[in-house]
Amino acid sequence: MSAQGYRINETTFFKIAFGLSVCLLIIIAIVSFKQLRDVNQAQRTIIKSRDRQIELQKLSSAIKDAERMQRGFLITKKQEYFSGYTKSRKVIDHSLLCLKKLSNRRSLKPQQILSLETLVKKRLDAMDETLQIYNNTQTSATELKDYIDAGSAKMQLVDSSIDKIIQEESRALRQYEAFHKAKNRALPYMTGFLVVFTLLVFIVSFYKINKDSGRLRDMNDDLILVNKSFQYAEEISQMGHWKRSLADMVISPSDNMYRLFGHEPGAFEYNEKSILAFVHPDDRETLQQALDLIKAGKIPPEMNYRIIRPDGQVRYFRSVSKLIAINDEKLVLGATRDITPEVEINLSLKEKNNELQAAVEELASFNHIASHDLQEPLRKIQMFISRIAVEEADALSGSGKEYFERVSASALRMEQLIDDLLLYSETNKSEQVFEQTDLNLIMNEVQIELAAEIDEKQAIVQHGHLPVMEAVPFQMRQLFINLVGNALKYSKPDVAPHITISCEMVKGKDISDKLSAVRDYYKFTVSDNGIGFYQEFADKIFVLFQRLHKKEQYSGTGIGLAICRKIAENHRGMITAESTPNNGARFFIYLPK
Amino acid sequence: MYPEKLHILLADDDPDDRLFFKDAFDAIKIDHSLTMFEDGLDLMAYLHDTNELPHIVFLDLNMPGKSGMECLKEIRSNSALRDLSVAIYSTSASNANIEDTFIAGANVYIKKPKDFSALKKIISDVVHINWQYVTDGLNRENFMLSY
Amino acid sequence: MNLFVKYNLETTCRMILQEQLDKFGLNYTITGMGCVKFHSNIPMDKYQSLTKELNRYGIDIIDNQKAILVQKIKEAILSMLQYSDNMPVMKISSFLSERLGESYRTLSQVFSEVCHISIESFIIIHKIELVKQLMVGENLSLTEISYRLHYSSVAHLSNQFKKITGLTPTTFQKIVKHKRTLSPVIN
Repeated sequence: MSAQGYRINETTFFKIAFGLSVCLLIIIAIVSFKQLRDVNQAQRTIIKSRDRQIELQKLSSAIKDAERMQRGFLITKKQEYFSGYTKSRKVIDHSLLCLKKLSNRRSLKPQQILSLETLVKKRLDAMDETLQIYNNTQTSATELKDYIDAGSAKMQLVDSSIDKIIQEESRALRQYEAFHKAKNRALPYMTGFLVVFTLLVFIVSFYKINKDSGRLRDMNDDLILVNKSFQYAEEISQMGHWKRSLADMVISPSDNMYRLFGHEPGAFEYNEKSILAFVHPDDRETLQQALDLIKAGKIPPEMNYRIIRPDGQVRYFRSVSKLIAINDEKLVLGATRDITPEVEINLSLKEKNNELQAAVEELASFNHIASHDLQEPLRKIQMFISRIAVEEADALSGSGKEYFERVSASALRMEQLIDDLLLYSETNKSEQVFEQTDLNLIMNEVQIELAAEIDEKQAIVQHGHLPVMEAVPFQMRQLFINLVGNALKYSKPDVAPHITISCEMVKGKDISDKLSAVRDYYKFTVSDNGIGFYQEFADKIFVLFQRLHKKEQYSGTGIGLAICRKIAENHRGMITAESTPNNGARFFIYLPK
Repeated sequence: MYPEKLHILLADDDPDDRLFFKDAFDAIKIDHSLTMFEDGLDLMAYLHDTNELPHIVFLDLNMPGKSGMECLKEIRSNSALRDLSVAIYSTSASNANIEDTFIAGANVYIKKPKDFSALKKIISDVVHINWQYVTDGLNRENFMLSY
Repeated sequence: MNLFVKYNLETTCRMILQEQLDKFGLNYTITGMGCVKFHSNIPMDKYQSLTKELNRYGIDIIDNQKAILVQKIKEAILSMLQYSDNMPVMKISSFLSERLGESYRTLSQVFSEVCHISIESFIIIHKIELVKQLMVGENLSLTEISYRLHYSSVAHLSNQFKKITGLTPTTFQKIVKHKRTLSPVIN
């Protein structure tokens, strides 16, 4: 899961979980609150009911007390009974009052109290009447008894009314209880379920948060590790990086940037001015231009400049930069590398190269001059010999003449050697100009060059269509002159030489691993019908100064084919030979296309 | 046909070569006078001074003081000497050298041979062919021989 | 600024000859190249002065039989080379002996004696000279030239060219081209 996707999912999940938990908690709270309120209510109702019942009982007993007092008074006529009676009457009134307060719609309705009150009043009135009657001496005992009986009947009414009310109260209470019980039966379960569910949500959330936080921690650790590696990498590779906001132009360098300048991180305030102070005076202007380009929002090309460290060391820096946009903020991100070691290596390489070049040139020129200087006295020797042989022929004895012949032969040999050495040194020249060379034209020149010998031996030299290729013209000419010349030289004594040059394309990998496997090569074949040679010498003939024949049989310095090989190598190709005695020879020259 | 006397000049710093040249010239049947110089300066001094211009001037290329090439260029840029036949007589035979001397206006390039008879033949040829140009009005500009 | 000129020597020489002869008030007719017929004898002093004047232009009076013959031979050969198109391809020996009424042996002997080179050499030298002219002056290709001058092949022409001059035709051309670009140094 990508970091971004992960983030979104996480947020949504947490939002949902949080919302859910809050809802559940609110629900639970509401439910609990309601439940509490209900309980309180029930409690109050019960208490109230109980109070009512008590009050009713009080009323009942107060009335009974009043009756008792009345009876007592009636019987004894003691005053204390009468004050008791009065007191009870006060209690009755008080109870009635309380009952009125305690009345509620459900059980003790105000009408009921009123009717009760009326009944009580009637009783009390009856009692009062009885007392009055009693006090009145004319009252007969039967009249009294009637009043007392009426009073008793009224009391019964009161009692039954009170009982009725009490019963109703109980009944209402019981009803209320039952109703409440039914209502509250489900509540604990629901609450329990909600609590369990909430717990679950909490557990799952906790688990998930833990896991995620663990993952985050890991990511953080990785990040720290990456950061650390990055810092180390910068240090090891002598690199630093910086970013510059195009909004406020403030440069924020990495720690190693400071070290590149030879300071500890944060040792100085990193801005354009302080940086330029380090830069070598000659490079300041170019760097300033580059920095200006950056400020203009353009990216300068690679910046190469020198800085001077506090300890005086000169270091070579290379900086590159790129314009990036992060969250709509335009930033320039840059990297600077201390390339001093490479520059130094480069410089020393260049120096060595120059030295080498000079040495090679010196050698070539030495070669050249030596050969030329050797040619001079040699020529004179040959001149004088030729003159003596002709002009002093009479003065010489037979052996004298022979000696001079041999001297002449040796001088000739020396001449050939020097000439070939010169040629060899010329193919070694470092400056070789490669150009598009038409080998057909080269072959024509070769034939003109060897015209005399071709004529003399009545040779036939043929070539197929040869390509135009990138080569050094004079070397190509020399190559074919040597090969065709050899073919002419080593022809069979009484057979006219027939020399053919052909060309085909081959793949480097099919020929030899000395050639590039991926390139195509031209394969030139120079074949003749001369005396040939043993195949086992096929390599030897290309070695400098190696010859297969005595010099009396065939002239030659042994340099010609070495030159051919050198030329092939100069062109990144190779040359091989194939032959059997008396069956001519075939020379294969491979040159890259 | 031929003038009474062929007037030849040679500038070469090598005494042996001067000897060869002189002997080779003596072998030619034509009557001639050969004046030899050891360096280019003497040669040029003579040319500027003389009334009698030579028929052919032979120049060695590698001479101290004034090189053969310098003499050649000086001759060709001098209105009085411009039409002289100039033959370069030198040890080196690099194609570049040869072409350069022809381009600078030389008529003949002779690579010093190693055989005396060859030298004799060359000199004879040069003289005779040169004469063709002189007498038979051939285009001097095209007069180029290379040995 | 450079001017490249081509000389028609025949015309040039004839004009000079005419001018000079006229200057001396001589009575004459020019018959062919190199031959002037005087209608009367010339006094010796005039003859001397004339000789001297003509010498200034490089024109010599030939009063030598052999020299005259050689001159005729040269004439014949040169005209043959000039108008080679019209020429039937004939052997040089027959051509010359026919034209000049002498045996070829005599002709070659006299020629060699006077010129120190053989007729054949002379012909080849001038043929090559013509090749040079055609190459440089008229910018013909080697194929065209070899055809016009009856060479069996371009290779044959190149070979002969190299043999005589020591340079290949292409090298020669290159040199002439380079010479022309270096202005004041014209031979």
